[in-house]
Amino acid sequence: MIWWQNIPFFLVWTPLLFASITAVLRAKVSRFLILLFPAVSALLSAILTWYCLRNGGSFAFSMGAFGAPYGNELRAGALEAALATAFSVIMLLSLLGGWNRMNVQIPRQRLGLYCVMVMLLLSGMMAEVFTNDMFTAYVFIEIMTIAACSLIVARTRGRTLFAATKYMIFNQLGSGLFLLGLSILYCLTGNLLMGDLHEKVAALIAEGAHLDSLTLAVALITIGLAVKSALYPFHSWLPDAYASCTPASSAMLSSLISKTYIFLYIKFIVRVIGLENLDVIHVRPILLACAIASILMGSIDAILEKKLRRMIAYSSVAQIGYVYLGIAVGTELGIAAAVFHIIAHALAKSLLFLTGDRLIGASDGDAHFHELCGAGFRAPVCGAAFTVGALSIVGVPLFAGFASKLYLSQACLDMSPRWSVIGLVVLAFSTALNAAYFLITIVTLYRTPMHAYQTRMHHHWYSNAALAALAVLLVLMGLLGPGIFSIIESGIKYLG
Amino acid sequence: MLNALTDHLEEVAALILFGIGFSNLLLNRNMIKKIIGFSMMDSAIYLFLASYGYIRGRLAPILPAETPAPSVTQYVNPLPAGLVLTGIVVSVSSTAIMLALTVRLYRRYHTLNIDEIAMRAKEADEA
Repeated sequence: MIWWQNIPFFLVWTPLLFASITAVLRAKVSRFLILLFPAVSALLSAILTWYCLRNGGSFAFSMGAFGAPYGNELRAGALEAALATAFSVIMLLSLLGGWNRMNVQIPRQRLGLYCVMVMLLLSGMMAEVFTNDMFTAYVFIEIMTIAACSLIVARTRGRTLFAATKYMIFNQLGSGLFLLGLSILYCLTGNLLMGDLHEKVAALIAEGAHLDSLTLAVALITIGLAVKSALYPFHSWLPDAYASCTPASSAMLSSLISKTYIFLYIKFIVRVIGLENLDVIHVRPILLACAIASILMGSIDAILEKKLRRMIAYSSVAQIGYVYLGIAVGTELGIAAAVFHIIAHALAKSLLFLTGDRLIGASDGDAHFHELCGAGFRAPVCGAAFTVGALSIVGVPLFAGFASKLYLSQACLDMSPRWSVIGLVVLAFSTALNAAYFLITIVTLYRTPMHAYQTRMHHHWYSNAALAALAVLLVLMGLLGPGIFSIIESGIKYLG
Repeated sequence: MLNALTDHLEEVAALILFGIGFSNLLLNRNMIKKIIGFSMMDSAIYLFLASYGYIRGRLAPILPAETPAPSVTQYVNPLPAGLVLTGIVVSVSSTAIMLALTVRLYRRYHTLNIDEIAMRAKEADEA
């Protein structure tokens, strides 16, 4: 065991430990800690990424040195480490960008508890990224659900309470399906570690035994995680939850939590089922149909929406459709494109939620489109940052969204001719739809306002710096796309 | 067919209970009944797991200190019991947070019916 191989364990364990300590600290100290921990975690996972890339391959960390099949394992390679870095950085920037509003919107006595939930969320995210054990994944899914629900409900005004209840109900349905699927899989194989599961599943498929039960288990896990990551038609909880809570929370909910579930699903598909067995399980056509429906319906809902933050929330549904499209292609290229899109979309969506809320704030707090005229002049940094985020989501060259759509369309060509044509047409059409609502929004932001606005909101320099950093990262990711993509691709080779 | 059902009575019961709990959580309008459905759904999965671990006629997996350790074939599978224990802890905390949400919903909207709550939340939004 070399020293850097302990990093995944500390990434999961330290935030969990400090979550319980944060509960009794003063709000001032814990507010400092929730910035410190994502920063440290980003640094450590960047170091881990570097070592993983240098040494190649991936390694397993047995918790407490209990060997398989009884022990619990973490597993890390370049892909997991890179994703952990991206998630930590985005978490830090989301918190910084929403810092002012968070301190205003969350009652003073609850701020300490909010910090506890942020710590739990960080720990849960790292656990989902690194775990090699399906049941541990389930436990941390529940921890993240509870943390996410508390993040929504921390702001007491508006309809957050109803939104959180809806979120909780749907997520519990999803967790229940996931757990049932997992139990059936466990009964079929007698293992919970992903590596051992894969051997048993491959053996079952080779024998042709229990194929129906296996399909049922995979279907239940797929639907469970699809509900939790808001794939169409299981997305009805999403707009309320994302649009009503404090901006730092909605940035983290949309860019981190749903993405973590999707990454868990990718690990399940690649590491447990194996890409070569996907067709036996019949999971691809269903995923493909849901992904395409998600891309189209999410964009149409966004076009019909009259309020800015709900529009951004609906666009999340469409973007999650892209990620599932990459998974549904079912080749290494498709998975790599999906992971690339996860990061690109997480950056852009975090930026859009943070700036969207501040643009609304600069328009006397009215979220309707006609009130947003000229908001880009009243809040120049936000206007520019929003434009960058929106252009990236639309897929304009130079930005991360363009690179990810390019890789997705390359991946689509791996499918059978008919499906690849459908995939490409959907990609092109949805880009037009994305452009329709985001370009209109950008134009609205820079039109002359109909009347004067008096609200002057003070934002700290580091808040603005966080927004600028997100925008710069989006451009960098667009420019360095091939380099990042090759890291992801090399990581995926060692994921299986 | 009938034999298969009677051989796996616990699993069949667990799946039926899961269905009842799931549809209650999804479809029932009353928050408390939703939470009851949620508890049923989770308990059904624990029944499913526990019945998988239990092997008829075998002992509890506890090693006696004085006598020489008997072979593993005399014990039931202890792992599902561990999973069930973990799961119970998880579902208790989820139930607690859902009940807490329900208390706050009732204080604000004075009803437990989720449709009425949705309606009042919408009215409050537009007001």
